[in-house]
Amino acid sequence: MKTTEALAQKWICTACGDIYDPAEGDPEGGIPPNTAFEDIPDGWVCPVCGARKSDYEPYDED
Amino acid sequence: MAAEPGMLLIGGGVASASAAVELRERGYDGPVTLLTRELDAPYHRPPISKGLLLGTGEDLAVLPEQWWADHDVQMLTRSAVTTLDLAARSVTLASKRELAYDKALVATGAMVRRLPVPGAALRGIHYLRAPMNARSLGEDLATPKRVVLIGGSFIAVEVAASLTKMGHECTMLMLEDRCLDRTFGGVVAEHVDQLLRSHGITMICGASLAEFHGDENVSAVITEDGRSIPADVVVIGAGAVPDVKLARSAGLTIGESGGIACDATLRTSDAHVYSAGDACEYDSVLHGMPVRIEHEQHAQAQGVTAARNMLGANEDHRVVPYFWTDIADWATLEYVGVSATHDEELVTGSLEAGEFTVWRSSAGRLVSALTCGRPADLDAARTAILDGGPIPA
Repeated sequence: MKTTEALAQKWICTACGDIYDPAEGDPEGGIPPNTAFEDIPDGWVCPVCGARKSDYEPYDED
Repeated sequence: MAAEPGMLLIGGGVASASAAVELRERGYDGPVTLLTRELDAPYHRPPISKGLLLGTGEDLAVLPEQWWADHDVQMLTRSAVTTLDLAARSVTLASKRELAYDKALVATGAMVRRLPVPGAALRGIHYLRAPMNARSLGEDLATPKRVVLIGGSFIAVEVAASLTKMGHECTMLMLEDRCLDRTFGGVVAEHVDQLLRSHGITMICGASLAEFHGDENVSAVITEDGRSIPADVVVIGAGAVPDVKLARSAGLTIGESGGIACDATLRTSDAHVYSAGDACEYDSVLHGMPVRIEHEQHAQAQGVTAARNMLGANEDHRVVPYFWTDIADWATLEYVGVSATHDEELVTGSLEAGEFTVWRSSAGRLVSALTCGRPADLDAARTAILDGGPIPA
């Protein structure tokens, strides 16, 4: 479910530091903008290094 | 009056690191900040598909840990840049922090080419880009496994060789008719193909990936023409794409190869922003056309040129690209060159003995040389290419 919190929560790839921002999504990877991280299919991988979705962790600014 | 904002190096690869070194070596004493999204300080990437897999425990750091503080360069890890504002000459980080600059280097590198086929979520499927990707692959390879490598480029070749050496049973699956066909082709591709086969690697050429099968873990790779290749582990080495997300959103011009378009001095379409490394497409004087080069040594050399030009040198980048590949300890290939096309090819030495050089020229001028075991030929080739000379006699 797309709660406001889920759509605001950014995630970081623990392999390469890529940040997933729900507002942007990952259009090249088939993920439209405004997709909460939880709603990304399991087969999705990090756009930068190819790490798995499970290698991401919540990223909190500052 | 506020202090000068200084030089900003965006990206944590060798291009940014060599730019930092060059700025200080040239005597620049203003602020220098390097921003990398990665968890580690700039590191050498080539060992990830070479020695790191063999567990030779190489130290990957480009510079000693103390170098940054000793040279008063602020190096910030886990610092992804989300916005580049060309008009304001500032960037915003994912942490919302803002930094201003006098000159910026955008050296954001490249990203893996993803293959979003059915079954991609299965365990045991790996890409290789960051050290943790290699460690994660290593965990899956604790006991001998059947490994399928997807791709025919040098990364797939290097990994296939390293893993075979470690006792795994490797199969290479590629679109090309032979591995390295797109990079070197000809007698070199033939030589490497034979070398890999002679070490027991199975080659499946001219085939494309359709999907992965398995329950939780991958168990087979399925090709478009219906073949099923048993697999415990898959490594995808399908090339890289330049990471120009930041540059594009900032409004910098993107070139035909998909890289950040730069002039011969590595300056982008914005007078205060330069580029270097895998993301940089520059108008090469030596090639006579815009090129984008994905080799570590070239990224390093471009970092140096960019740094000089950020300080106002206004020099063209005139370095002949160099590249090497280790195929386990079976062969090391080294290459210098400025063109992929040629009208004449000469092989010296002996292919059978594994000690040879392939020289290529176009309209009488040497354009590239690839050697296996004859390093002196590389120096001769570099000189001839810079001089516009023929194949050295």
